[in-house]
Amino acid sequence: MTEDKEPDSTTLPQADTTALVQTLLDNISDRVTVINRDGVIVSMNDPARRLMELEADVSVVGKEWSILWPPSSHPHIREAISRAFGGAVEKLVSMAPTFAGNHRWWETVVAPVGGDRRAPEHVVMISRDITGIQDGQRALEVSRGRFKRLYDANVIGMFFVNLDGAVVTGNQAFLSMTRLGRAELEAGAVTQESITAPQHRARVRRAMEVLSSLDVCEPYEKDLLRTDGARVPVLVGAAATPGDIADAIAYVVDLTPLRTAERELRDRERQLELMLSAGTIGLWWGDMRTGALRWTDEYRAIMHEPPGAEPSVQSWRRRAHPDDRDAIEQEFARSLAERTVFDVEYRIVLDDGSVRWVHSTGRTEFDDDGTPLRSSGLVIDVTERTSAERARMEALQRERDAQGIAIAAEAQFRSLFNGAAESILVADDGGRIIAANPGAEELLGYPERELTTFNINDVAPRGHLLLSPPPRAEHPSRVRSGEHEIRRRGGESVRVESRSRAVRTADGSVLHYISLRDVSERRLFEQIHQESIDSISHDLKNPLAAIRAQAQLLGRRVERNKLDEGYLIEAMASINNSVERMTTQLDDLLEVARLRAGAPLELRRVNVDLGQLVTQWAADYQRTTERHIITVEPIEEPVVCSVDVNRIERVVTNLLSNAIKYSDGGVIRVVIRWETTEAGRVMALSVIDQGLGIPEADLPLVFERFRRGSNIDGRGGGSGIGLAGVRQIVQQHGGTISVESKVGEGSAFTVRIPCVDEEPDKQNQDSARAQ
Amino acid sequence: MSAVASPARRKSVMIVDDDPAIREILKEAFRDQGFVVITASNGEVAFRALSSFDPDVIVLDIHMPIMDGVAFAAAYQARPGRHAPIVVFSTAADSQRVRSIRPASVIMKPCDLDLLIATVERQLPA
Repeated sequence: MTEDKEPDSTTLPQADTTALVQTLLDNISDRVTVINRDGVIVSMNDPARRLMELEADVSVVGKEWSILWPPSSHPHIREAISRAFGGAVEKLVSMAPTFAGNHRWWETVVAPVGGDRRAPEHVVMISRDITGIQDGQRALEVSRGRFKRLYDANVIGMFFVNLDGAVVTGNQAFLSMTRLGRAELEAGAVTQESITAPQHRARVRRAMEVLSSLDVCEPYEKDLLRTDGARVPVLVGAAATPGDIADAIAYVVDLTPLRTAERELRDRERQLELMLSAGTIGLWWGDMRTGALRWTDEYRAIMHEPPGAEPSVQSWRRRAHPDDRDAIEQEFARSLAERTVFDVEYRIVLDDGSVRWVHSTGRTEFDDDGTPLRSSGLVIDVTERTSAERARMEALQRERDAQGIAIAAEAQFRSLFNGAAESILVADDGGRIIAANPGAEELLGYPERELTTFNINDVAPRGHLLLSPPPRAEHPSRVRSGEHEIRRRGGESVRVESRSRAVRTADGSVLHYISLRDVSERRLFEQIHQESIDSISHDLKNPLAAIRAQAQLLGRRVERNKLDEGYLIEAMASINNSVERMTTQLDDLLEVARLRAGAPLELRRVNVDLGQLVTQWAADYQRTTERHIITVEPIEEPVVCSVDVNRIERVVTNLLSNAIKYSDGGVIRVVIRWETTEAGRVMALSVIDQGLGIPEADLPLVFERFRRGSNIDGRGGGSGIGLAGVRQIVQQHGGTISVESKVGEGSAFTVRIPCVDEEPDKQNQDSARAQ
Repeated sequence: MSAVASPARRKSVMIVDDDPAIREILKEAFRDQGFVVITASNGEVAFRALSSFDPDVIVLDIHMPIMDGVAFAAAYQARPGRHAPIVVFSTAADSQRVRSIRPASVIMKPCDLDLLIATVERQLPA
């Protein structure tokens, strides 16, 4: 074969064919090898070297094709090659290790090339690495397990559904996906079918049947029908929850973003896919300097040129659809300018006027000066797709979907796991922690990477086993719940409520999902609440006991004829006094209830001299203690303020009784003074004790409901209004309360109330006028 | 005193309760029965009083400021020497803490005065 020989349109010179294929296929991301009739590899593209992890100085050219495949796959590859030499195009999937020993799955097209169609000189093998897709399928299986476990762990509530299709309730995500309102949902009219696009309702019914017989419904896809009429592609799965609020719990994943990504991926893959699945490949090449064009028989056949037709640009132009010519030429010009592959799909018009689609791709070679030398390309008829090809496309599509869902499921799982408000641990069957969410990190005080070095027994003391016995089948175990202590970093104990479930995964291993909730605050609340009740009961029973005992004593004396009038009067006064105490206590109780409920008070302000009143209250309290000395240090002038006397009495007596309760003795100073601020005169009253003091960390909390210092233990809960109530009363007087304290030295509570002594009178007059 | 032959030594009781009304009534009632009565407003006062007074029986309230009934009983029972039986007279009689001091008897407030007196008399030394 020499340069000056006339171009031959029916048979190509072998060297040219090989070189052409080489050039073209070096630009494809697939592994391409060309084999001659002796089974010897005559050429291989550059990507093949990389895909097969072939070292630079090793070549497989000149070796038999079998070097690339493991012996087990030789028979069917040999058969495919032999059929390709008979003119057939074969496609097969097989595993072959790379030269570095890594196992890869390959989808290979074996097609004839060059020479007569039924007796080609070469066979081309185009292999695509589909290992990722195979992995994707395996990942799907894992992800299904994950989905199921996600539900099992009770981390996601999605929606509860009965077997008759009635949707009982759903979580917020479900509501926003369907655009249902909660009230609407819980009115009971929503069913699986009413939220499903009509064409998928039969599928939903089938799924419910599967669910009722197998207790589990594998994930399936459908279009959700939103209340605004829009359809949303979703993945749905369900599992039976006998004994729960509904027969089953189901979950929904929005596939819209996945679908968009899939479409893009599909578009990118399409061109290559078409090439691979095409029956025949036509080749052409042209001299850019002379304009001379040559083509193969396949090219001529694809383009429907008559036998013997002279290859020329004109003949191509004549064939190309007039509407597509500009686009083709633009693409060719672009590839020249960018020196890249051109790739275009266009229509050709046959002599009988019918239209076919072809796909054309190729590139141009340049000399060192950048002058284009030679263009070459390949063309494939893509008009007809056999049903088998379509099926293959669909299969591929399903694989891609599977892969995408696996990725989406993983991301979904992680985001729910991390976002859950509860603390969640995942442990293996030996109790080794394998995952912990941020909630668990916070509760236990260790980062996840440290927690994963622990066993579950390291955080829960023995005897408080958190784990359920593993189930035999791939069904979740029952939830095991309990309340117990766990150890945080630093050894501190926290009371938690735990719920755990064991799940056997698809591969037979067992995973435990444990959710923990800190209940220490709730328990403290309950304890204080109980103490309050005990205290109220004590406070009320004492005067009752006095009244009863008094009455019985009087009775005994009457019986013995020993009752003197003087004692009778005394006893009556005592009974009366006890009744008054009870009345006061009941009033207090009502006030406490009101203050604890945060209800606003109706203040009955009157002008009083607080200095005088406080002195009186302090004297009352002095009588209750022998260990303390209560002093009052009022300023000389009367401290006249407009306040609700009963409420302010509660404030002062609460501070006094706290000072007595939380100090073992010493002086309790009550200091009243005027302070001048921008807003005017302020009455400041401090109660200063020499007691236990309040730890600094507790100071910001002392005015909270149901709080007490961490150094206070067993000093009895109060049925009183508490400091939260004190603050409420002070605030409703427009005032403030503050505390200074040091552990071991004592506390000083200061109440400040702005006092304008004329104002209230004026107000009273105003309101009197208004009435 | 009365014409009834009185024993060589008069029976005695200590009333420990923070409620002044109850202290007064019980003092009257036990005096009517011929007891020597001493009262204390809390456990701490009672404990100090026991250094100069050795009652036959102690009637003890539980909820009291400064030193409550349980703390008092623990301190008293840890003291060497004879221990008078304790009759708990309280609103919260059944708690674990109350049982821990092993009272001779527990009477719930509000109570029947006759029952309290009878219970105390049963505890008197033969």
